Parts: sequence; C-alpha cells; structure tokens
Amino acid sequence: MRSASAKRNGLTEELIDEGIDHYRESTAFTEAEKAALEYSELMQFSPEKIDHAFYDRLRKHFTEAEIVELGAFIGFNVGYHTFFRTLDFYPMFSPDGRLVSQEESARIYGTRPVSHLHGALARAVAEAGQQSEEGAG
Amino acid sequence: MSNISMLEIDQLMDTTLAPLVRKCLKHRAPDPAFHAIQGHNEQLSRAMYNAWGTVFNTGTVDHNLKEIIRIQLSRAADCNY
Amino acid sequence: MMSIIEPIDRDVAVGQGLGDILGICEELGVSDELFPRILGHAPGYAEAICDAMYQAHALGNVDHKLKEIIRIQLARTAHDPYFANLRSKRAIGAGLDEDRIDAGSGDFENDPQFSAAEKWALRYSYLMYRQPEKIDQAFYDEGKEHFTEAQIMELGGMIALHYGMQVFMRTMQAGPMRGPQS
Repeated sequence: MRSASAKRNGLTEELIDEGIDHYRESTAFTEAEKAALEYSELMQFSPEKIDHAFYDRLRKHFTEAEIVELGAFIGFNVGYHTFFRTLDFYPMFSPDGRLVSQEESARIYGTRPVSHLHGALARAVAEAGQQSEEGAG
Repeated sequence: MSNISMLEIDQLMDTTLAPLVRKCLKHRAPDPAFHAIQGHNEQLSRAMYNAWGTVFNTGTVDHNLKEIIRIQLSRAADCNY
Repeated sequence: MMSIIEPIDRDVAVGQGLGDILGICEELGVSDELFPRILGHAPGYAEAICDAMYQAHALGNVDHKLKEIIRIQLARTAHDPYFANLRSKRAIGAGLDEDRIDAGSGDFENDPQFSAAEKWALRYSYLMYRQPEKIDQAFYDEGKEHFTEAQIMELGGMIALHYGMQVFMRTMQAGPMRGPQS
C-alpha cells in the first residue's frame, strides 16, 4: 500500500528504501528525520532504549505535540502491522493503480513485504499487459 | 486466501462503511482492504479507520516522513498489506 | 511516577473538548486521565484513539471480562506499568478478580478455569507479539470454532490498538495517576 498524497508530494520508492535501510548514513534526511526514524525503529525493536535522554534528543527537533503525534502514530502502526500480518491479506490496489484480486495482489507483491523496486512494479505492469492481451484475444 | 474472509467492495457499499470505502478508493491509503477485512464489525472498523486517519493524515509532522515510517514498520512486521 | 511527557492541564483538556473522554475515563477506569491528557498535546489524537480503544475494549460482543484479562496480559508483555496497573471498573464490578487476571497471564493453557474458547483468545494475545508466525490459517480456523469472524476481528483489533498504545506508554515511564489499582 502507498499513500497517494505522499507520492504526489514527491516521495519515491527510492527514498522510502533509503529511509528504511540507510537513514543513518544517508544525506537525504535531516537530523530531525533521522531521529524520528530511529524513534520508530526503537519502538518496534527496543522500546526499553527510549528513555529520558532519547526524548530530550527528540525535543531538539520536535515540539511536545509533534513527539506525541509521532509516538502515537508509531505505536498504532507497531500494534496494527503485526495483527494485519497474521491475517495474510494483501492490498486491493496494485502498485500501478488497478483494483486486483487477492490472488493477483499476492503474485504482484510477493510473499514478503519488500521494496516495490524489487519486482512488484514490473510484475504489476506485466499482469496488466497479460490481462489486456487476454481481453483483446 | 486471507485467514479471515474479506468483504467485496460491492458488499461494503451496502453498509454504513460505504462513505469511508469511497475515500479509500480515492486516496488508496488506507487501501480498501482495511474495511474489507475489518468490516465484519462496522462500528469498530469505522473507529479504527478514524484513528488511523487521524494519526496518519493530521498533525504537523511531515506526511512523507510518516509514510516512510509506516512502510518501515510494515516491513519489520512482515505485513504484506 | 511522572510521565516523561507531561500531561496537559485538566482545564486545557476540557477546553479542547476532551470532557467526554475524561468522563469515560472516570467511569471505566481504562484509561485514566493521564493517557488522553498526554495525547492531548496533539489536537484530535486523544478523541480518535481513545474512542477506538474504548469501542474495542468496552463494547462489542466478546465478554468484557475476557478482554480485560487480555488487555492486562498484553500490558505485561509490553512491560508497560501504566496500562498494566489500571483496572476496568466494569469488569471488576462484573466479578473479575486479581486471581483470574493473574491466571490469564500465567499458565492459562493448563488452567481448568478457562474454557476452550477463552484459552484460544488468551493464546491469540499471548502469541501476537511473541510468536506472530504461529498465528496462521490453522490457528484462525480453530478460533472460528469458538468465535464468529466479527468477534475474532474485535479481539484482534483490540489487541493491536491496545498493545501499540501500551508500547508508547511504556516509554513514558509512568504509572496510573492514582497509583496501581491492582
């Protein structure tokens, strides 16, 4: 799933991957953004490391309101993604914007959630092309 | 295929979730599968959608940053949705 | 225990329109005022999140006492002293006691006081953030022998949202405003 508004705001798959895999050493992110990405990573994997010192570090970049906004957003996603994972369902929209069946969605996105640059976009286009040929035939 | 059955879009359009599903079809986040799988309990699906929309789409933190975080956490949890 | 992020003043919260939420907190006890008043820093967040948490926990078709046992089990999993020490007044009023709460966080699989359905629900919450890979099709098929799909999604949604907020509140290093209620 991808936010259409984020895409319209210029967020690319490359930047998404950079933010997930290499944010610490990346020049594409500000110190504030890096702190937020670390906040998220720690909340998921090591919440015991989020202490007074960490929140003081966040306060150098974000207001109290923004920290609460981030914390609640991250907490919601930490809880929900694990739950959704157990349901084993897929987006109804393909990366190229078509409404697809769960079977086709699984073929396009694959068995694990990886970068869309690792094949999902190409598979979506291929599936669309195949369906177009079958429709014309 | 999914471990809990999913409602079809047509079925959802006959429920009180119809306006929310239309928004999902337009904005694609959340993807309408959110209601397809949670729509067995309409009231709760609406409340969760409202909470999701609030934390994702409102506030002053950059939306693109939240989108990266959202995908980061979905990969960490192995969530295909 | 003072929260790392201090709550907004009660007067400010009421001025923001959180009076109803605070009223529910007083009535149910889960959460107490601390949680919405921390969320109150971000406009709109307290209402949306607290409403969803209340709907999932206090309403619906799954027994509230069972959901309360699950909620506390999850909070202990999350190592969150805040939510772990809160108690639903409704559940306590309906007869839930600390022994049964502790049993739900203990060896519930071998405890005869829990029905097969309750054991499945407790296993669902126990596994979700410890071994989610074990919650597969077979697991859900077993759940469907005891619960409708709507009830399973009610349980799952509650588990997801409450756990996520418990992880956040754990980082606040706070306890309930009036001390532990257990």
